[in-house]
Amino acid sequence: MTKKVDEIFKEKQHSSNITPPAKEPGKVSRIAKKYSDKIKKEKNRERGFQEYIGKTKKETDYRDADNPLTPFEKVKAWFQNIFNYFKIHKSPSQKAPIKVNPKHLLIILGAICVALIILSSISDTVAKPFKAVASIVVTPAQKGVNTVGYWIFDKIELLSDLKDVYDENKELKDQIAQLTADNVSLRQKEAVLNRLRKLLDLKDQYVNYETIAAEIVAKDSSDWFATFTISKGSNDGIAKDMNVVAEGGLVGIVIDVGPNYSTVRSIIDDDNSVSGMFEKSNDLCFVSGNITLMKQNLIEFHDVSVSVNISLNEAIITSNVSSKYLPGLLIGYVNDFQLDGSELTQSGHVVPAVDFTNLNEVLVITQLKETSD
Amino acid sequence: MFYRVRNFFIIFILIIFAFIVQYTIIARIPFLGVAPNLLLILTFMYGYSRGKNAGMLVGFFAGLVADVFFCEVLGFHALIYLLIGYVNGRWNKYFYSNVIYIPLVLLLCSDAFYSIAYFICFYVLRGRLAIGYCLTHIIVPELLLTFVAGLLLFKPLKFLNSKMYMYYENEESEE
Repeated sequence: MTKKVDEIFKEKQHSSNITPPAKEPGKVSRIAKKYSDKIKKEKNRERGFQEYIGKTKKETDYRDADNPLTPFEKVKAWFQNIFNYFKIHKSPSQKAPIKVNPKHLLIILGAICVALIILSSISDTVAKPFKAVASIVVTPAQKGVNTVGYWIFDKIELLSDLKDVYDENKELKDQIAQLTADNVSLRQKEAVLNRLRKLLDLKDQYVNYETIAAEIVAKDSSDWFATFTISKGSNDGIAKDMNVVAEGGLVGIVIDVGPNYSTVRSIIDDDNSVSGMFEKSNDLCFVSGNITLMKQNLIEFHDVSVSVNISLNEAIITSNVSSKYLPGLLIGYVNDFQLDGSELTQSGHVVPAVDFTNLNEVLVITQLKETSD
Repeated sequence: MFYRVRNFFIIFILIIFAFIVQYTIIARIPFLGVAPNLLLILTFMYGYSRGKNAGMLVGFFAGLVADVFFCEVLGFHALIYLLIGYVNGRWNKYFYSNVIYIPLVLLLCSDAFYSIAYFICFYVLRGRLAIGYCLTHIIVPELLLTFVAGLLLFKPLKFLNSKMYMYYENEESEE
């Protein structure tokens, strides 16, 4: 099989080897012929033209009805006639073209140059004819070029301006982004400042309690959070059951302490219950979180005896009898109240003093409530 | 005769065209600062391809055009270009040798000569000798630009010359 294939291949190769040389010369000769034909045609045309010029003694014989000349050829013939005229009147010795010795030409032209330099430096009159000629020949062309050029360069300038504007725009956008970022950070700093100021106020308010400022680093739910983690732990002196305050109100209580973090359960947590009292009457109540009220930014109070006169917007503070909460911390303000179904107790809702939605900094009161147990 | 007249017109148009391109178009491109010396390229080309006489004549008229437009005193440019045309014409016998570096070296030397001569004529004679600044800001960039332009224009000009003098040669040989 392979032998056969090889043979076939060889045969093919052989045949292909034979054919191209047969083709190539033909191709070459064809091109050569084409060119030679073209050259011949040119030459014949030229020769015919020369013969025609030679034959036509009279200049009026151009208008041959059988073979009309093109305008270009007419002009050519016109020049040729003038040339012939000079040729006829030339003496035999002058027949050869004038061959100028380059050195002579150099000397002559150099002399002209030097003369021009000297003369034109003496007076302006020498330069005037040259300038006149130049103004006729070159200046109009220059003007034309200039008008076109100005147009083009205007466009180019416009484009470059556009590019500049584009670059500037880009730069300004970058600047805006930078400024926006700066602005945001400044706003944040301002907010922090305000918070810290408020905390300081709080500190002044609870001057008798020593506090540690801490940042909230994690919270367990989105908007309203019940428990959250702060950035200080046992290394900073924080212990379990320490009270946490912020913005002048009670936030919650430390329920778990790590070396450098603590978990705080806030008073809005459903699990949390604080013993509170009304600021004016010092009557006791229980304030506890409620998951259903969380979204309304409320907590509830209950177990208030019927005899207590509750007024709206009355402050509720932590009571003296609380086991874990220090007395006198502001919990919130009474939002509404009603008599319970048993008609023995009253209950209602409290607006917490602390805005839990935007809580970022808290103060941990390092003093623990000392109780008997 | 006809071809002589035609060629005269062609060279005339070439000179004016080169002048306009060099001094009106390229000189206005803002970031360039310098322009390739097309008149010099023209002078070089005719000197190199056609001989001393052609080079001198082209150089003389090209220089004269430049003189008329830019100088109070006529003749400096014409003299410089004249000399360049003459020197390039001396190398005419190598034109058909196809040795590539001859025209390149010639062009470079021509432009260097032009720059130095120009500096002498228009700066040294006025008592200004800031050769360092001129060298770095004008002469070298112009040299490079002219060289590049010369490289680009060499073939087209050679082609044009071959067309221009095709019949001219016949005519001369016939006579």
